[in-house]
Amino acid sequence: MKKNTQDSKSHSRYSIELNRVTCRIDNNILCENVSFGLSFGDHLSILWKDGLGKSTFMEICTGLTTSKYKGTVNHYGKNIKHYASDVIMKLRSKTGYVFQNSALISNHNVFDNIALPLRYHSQKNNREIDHIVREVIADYQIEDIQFLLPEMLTTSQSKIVAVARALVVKPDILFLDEPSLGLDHESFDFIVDRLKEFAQRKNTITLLLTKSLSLSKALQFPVAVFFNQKLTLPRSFNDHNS
Amino acid sequence: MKRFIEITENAGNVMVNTFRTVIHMIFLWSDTIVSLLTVLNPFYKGNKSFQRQVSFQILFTGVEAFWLIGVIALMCGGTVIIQAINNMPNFGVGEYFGKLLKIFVVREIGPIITFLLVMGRSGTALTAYLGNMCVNKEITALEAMGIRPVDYLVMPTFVGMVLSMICLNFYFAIIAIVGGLAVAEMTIHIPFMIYLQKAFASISMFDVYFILGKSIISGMVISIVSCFYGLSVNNIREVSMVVIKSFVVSGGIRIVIKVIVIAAFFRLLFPEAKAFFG
Repeated sequence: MKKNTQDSKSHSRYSIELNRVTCRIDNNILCENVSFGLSFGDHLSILWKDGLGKSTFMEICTGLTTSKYKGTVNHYGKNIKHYASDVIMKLRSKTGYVFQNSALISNHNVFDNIALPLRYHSQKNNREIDHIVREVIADYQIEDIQFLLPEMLTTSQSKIVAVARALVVKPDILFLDEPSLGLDHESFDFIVDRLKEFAQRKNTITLLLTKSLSLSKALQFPVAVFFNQKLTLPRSFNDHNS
Repeated sequence: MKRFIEITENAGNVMVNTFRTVIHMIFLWSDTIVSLLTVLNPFYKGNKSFQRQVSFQILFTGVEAFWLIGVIALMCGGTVIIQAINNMPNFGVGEYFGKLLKIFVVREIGPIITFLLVMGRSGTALTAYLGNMCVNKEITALEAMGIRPVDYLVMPTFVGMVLSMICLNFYFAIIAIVGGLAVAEMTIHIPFMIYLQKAFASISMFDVYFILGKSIISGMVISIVSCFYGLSVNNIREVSMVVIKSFVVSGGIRIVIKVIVIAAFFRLLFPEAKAFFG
């Protein structure tokens, strides 16, 4: 992982890299000169207070927002703004994203929500996809809710489905925007186990934005703190880089 | 002078925004066509949700509107036929009954009523649905998964809407003529079969293509305008406004297209006008 520095000549080392990113929305500075890089095998938690633009920052990191900031966001060594839209969509097919509000598709049931990325991207036929989804549903112990619509789910169930949908494509990069919000203890432990399992896989990256210290502690990822529009990476981390 | 500059500036802004909206709609339409051609490519193996989404749209727009369109077609057909049979002989044009039915019901009233009903029922619902999806970040979630909203939402809607409009327009024409004549037979006791033969004898293949063209244009206008306004929502307060906007704008576009087509091909489209107006 790259430390919080302004020099970014060796940008090709990092799969995800932010260089001096400054974001302002309506005269409010969201973040200022934020720089860091993540290469495969890196997992980072960023502690960030509620209501200070966590989701917007996550959208900047993923490239979903390209207009609200100054600085550069590179994915696989290239500025995200310079990619053709088809290439970006292809790259995102190997990316998982868990939204703060789960963002499940409202007129699809749980089964279809989990199958959605596979049906769009996978070369497998519908039968094979259904088989994979059934396995995932059994693995996540959500058989009893698989035919319910998102509006009928509790917050914990929605989060579990959102994590299942993000991980069903076996992503290389996982973006987590407050995944523990509104979870009960049991679901919290369950999701933590799943995220740890993901992090133990080879060549993966996790970027977690949360206000929950307990989640950061449970996951045991290096913790960066966002305070006063600045990102401070952990000391041990900087020592390791230097 | 200051007031004049303000008015000019506002008028200019409106013009620029209108132009921008039209250009964006054309881009959305072309993206949709490209997406459709991609899915129709037999070697393309992605987007397996296409058929499911199209079926859902046909069910919602076409099948569920069958009763409503049927009842209105019956009433329209009945009214026009009873009025025509009672009044046309008074003007000495009784022999043009079939042609009047063809021009008035099949070509004009049918497509317009179908358009208004589908736009009011399905188009506005679609705009509200997409608007709510934007507000709930479902569209962002699709993009985050690498799924283009045009491929997943707009294109299947487009196909479903066009197919539904074609079916509904032919359905309207048949119910209006057959049902209308049946109503007339029951109320003013006309010879059903004779008038039915007169009506169908006047309908040519050109009329079939004409309805087909109108259906395709109507379906395209409804789906593209509804999706465009639905996907442009930023917050929940805008949803109700874009629903109204999409209804008004699609109606406006439909009228503009109609006026352009009529102005360009009047003589070709309405050879019967010669018979009426000399």
